[in-house]
Amino acid sequence: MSIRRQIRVLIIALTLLCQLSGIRQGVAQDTYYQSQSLFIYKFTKYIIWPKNMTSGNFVICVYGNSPVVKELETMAALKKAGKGQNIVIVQVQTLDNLPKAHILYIPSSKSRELADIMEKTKKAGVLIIAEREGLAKKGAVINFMTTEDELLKFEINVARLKEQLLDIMPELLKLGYKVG
Amino acid sequence: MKRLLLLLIVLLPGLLMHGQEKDTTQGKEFRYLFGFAKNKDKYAVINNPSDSIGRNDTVRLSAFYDMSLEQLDSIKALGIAPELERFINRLISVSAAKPLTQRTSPNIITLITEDEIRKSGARDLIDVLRLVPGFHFAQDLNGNVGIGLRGNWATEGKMLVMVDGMEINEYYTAHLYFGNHLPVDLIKRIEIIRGPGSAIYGGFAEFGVINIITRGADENQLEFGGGAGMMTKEYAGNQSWMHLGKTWKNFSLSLSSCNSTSQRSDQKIYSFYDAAASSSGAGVGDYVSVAGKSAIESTWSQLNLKWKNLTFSSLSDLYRTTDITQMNANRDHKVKYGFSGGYTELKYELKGGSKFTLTPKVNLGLQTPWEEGTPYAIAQNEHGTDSVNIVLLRLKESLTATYDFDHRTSILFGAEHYTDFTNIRDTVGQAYFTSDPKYQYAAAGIFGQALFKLPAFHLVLGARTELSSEFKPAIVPRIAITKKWNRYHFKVLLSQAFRAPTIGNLEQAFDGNYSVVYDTAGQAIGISSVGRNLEPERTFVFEAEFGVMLKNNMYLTANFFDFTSKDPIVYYYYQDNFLERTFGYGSGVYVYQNFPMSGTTGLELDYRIKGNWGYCNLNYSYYSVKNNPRIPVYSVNTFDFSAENQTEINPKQLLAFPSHKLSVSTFFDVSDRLSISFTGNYWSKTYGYDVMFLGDGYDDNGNFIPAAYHVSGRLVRYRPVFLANLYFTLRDLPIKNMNIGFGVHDIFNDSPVFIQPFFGLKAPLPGPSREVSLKLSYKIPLTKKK
Repeated sequence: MSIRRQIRVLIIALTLLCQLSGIRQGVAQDTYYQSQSLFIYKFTKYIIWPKNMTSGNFVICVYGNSPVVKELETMAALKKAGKGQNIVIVQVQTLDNLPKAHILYIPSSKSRELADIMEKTKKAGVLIIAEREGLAKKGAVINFMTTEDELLKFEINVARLKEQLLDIMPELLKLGYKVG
Repeated sequence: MKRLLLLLIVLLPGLLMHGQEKDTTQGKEFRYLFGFAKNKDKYAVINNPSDSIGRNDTVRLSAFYDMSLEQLDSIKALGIAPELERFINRLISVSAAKPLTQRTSPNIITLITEDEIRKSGARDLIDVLRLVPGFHFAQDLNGNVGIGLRGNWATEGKMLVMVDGMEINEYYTAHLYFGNHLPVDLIKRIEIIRGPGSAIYGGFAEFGVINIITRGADENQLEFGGGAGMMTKEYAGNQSWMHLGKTWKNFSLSLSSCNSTSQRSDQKIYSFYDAAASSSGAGVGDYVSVAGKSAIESTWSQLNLKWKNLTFSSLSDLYRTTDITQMNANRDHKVKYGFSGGYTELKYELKGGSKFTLTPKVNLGLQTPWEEGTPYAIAQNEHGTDSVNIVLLRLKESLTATYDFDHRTSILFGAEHYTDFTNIRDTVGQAYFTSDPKYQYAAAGIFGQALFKLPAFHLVLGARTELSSEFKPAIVPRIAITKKWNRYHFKVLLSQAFRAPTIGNLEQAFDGNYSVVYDTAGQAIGISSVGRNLEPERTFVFEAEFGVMLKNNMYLTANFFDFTSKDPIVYYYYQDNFLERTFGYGSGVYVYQNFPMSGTTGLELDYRIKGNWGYCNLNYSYYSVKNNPRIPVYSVNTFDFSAENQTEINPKQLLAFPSHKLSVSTFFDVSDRLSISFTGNYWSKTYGYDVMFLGDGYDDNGNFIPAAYHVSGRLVRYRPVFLANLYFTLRDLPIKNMNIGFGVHDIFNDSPVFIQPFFGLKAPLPGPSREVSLKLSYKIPLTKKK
């Protein structure tokens, strides 16, 4: 078998594998975003928002499309944020329509717009959560990451947290990796 | 029947995939958030965040949201079955000297667990390692069996073998032999690099690394066991072993031992008569059954003590094989080879906070490799009138420092220095050179590595340099990019590796120039090489791997590799007309020589499915040399003592190594007490040399040669082999804590032979025939259940 033929065989095999793996891809995503939703729920409890935001609905805004919406909606149906605030999930497609939110979730597909998002949410008391690794260093308050052994963790930029007029309870801070 | 079974193996993954479709309810998948939930006490509380959640219950999501922060800290990012998760996310240190998972380790990795070893009923490491993609066993000299991978013969010090981090390759020529060697029942896991490891481990890790981690103190139990087997014609052997592991607050103790005797085979071999028998008219050799005459004896003992951060390890490995490739006039195989080693290590791990670790280590190894036990009665063997006795002491000091800048960046630096002291008592004639019998050799290595866990990918940069007074410095860098995303991962690995010449290599180094040494009576007794002109062999390796989790319990990887070795150090039998005239027909010397270039290219696929019902591992490996540089000594050429007269028959593969190999390892829990394991290997046709009988004839000078002495060699194509093994395990029977295992190895009695992978005239070495084996073990817990 020549090298060219070997590479061809390998490519065909990998293509078939990718097709096979696609069958169950949805399940993988479900689990990943289920895990994220568990963290986000704890953020609603252990992050301290400005007093004027501790009443009324607790708004979680998702910018763009993400499977996390489905999980957050499940969470909103089951649980309450803070000290009993109803959780409302809002999905927006443009930055012009950003509502006043407690949490702004940025999916990977929107990571490049982080600078614009930061500009539009200055001192707005919004917890910007990204899912792409390294974004907390670039200006998001929190980004999710996975460890070697596939545990879901988060990086947190405390300076950015303070800029957003937010505070964090030490027991939650202990779980995160501080950056920035 | 064989074909049916082979077909079943190929279809098995598909059948299992189909069978797993039912395991897709949301409730069952949500449990995958907690990969360790089933067995680890630490996470037991997570398994049940509220009373409503059990492992197989329908999950009520609200209960999960109420978990504590401590529980949240153990949440999984990936939804995979706990059984598979425990396997692929097990932290492995062999690749980067830093705990990483298989998916991010900067090498192509195979992990073999204790569970897989014991459930398969493996008799020895050959049974275990045959299941690894690309691994194959072949015949070295004197009836010994060595290892190769990806088409490359690696037993000549190109595969590093470590036990708990201690090197056990023999220091003289760096060989390591298999077959009833290293007790499999005392192994906790085996971490294997199926590629170069020189950037960290140095000159014996050119093609691969096998790190055997033995059972430790944390088992807190005393276990002992034994086993026996019966081949079709002869008793196969027996073994007995024990392991004690106990931990206290700051102290732990692990003590183990194993004693075993087995037979290499019960089949026939073409064995050569020793010089005495041959000169008295017996001829060159004859076919003889080795049933009951091919003993391999092994005694193993190990002691590990740990007090806080101070570790003391000691192991003794006494290994003795019978050379069934030669015999005396009574057709007995009296020559035995001993490879004994004692290894001691003292290590201290000094921690400076959570980021810095400094590990000084001192190792002392004492070996007597190639100890030839030749009774005086047949002293006139191929090695002359005396036996070989090499005593070698290695003192090695090393220092390794690691520093973690943050959770994304870490560096590692290390330096090691070793000195070998040798005493060689060897007055041999043709096989060894007559040189200075005492020799001291020192070398030093410096290595470094930086690991960057960048958001986009992981980057590993590393290099090692080896310095010695005997050869030019060898510098080997490596760069690795790994990336895992959700269910996928890929690796791109570029590495250089090297094989450092050892004392034994330098002693027998050969550059084509030699002089004959005569005794006082003017009798030629050997040859002396003009210079130790042997340089390190260097290999450049490109590897790429793609992996995917096909389903929650299925994992598949595919990799491509390309090896190119420059100045390969090759051990082969050198002959020329002058040597034949001086020492007789067929005379020559085994030498080490740098050849121009060699290499292999290929791919490997590894599929695993794991569940609470059992597991199935299936892998395929392929290599080719068609587009790689080749050297005659490894090539599939017609038999001729002169390389110029050889003709290449198959330009795609090399001697002894099959192009295609398929391995399967399955295990099913039939009930709580009974489980069944099936393991199998299929490999395609192989090539090797065998003897050829020419009948009465004449030599080049017109002298008559009777048929008994008129023997030459021929190239033989060996048919594909299918090895199938079935093994049953009964747990807690007939009493609690007692396990009984029994099975059949090589069900179809294919009795594969070990072929010599380099040019030479050794007939194929027979392996064991179909064997029925029985194993027993009993454990006594040393801690009370809480």
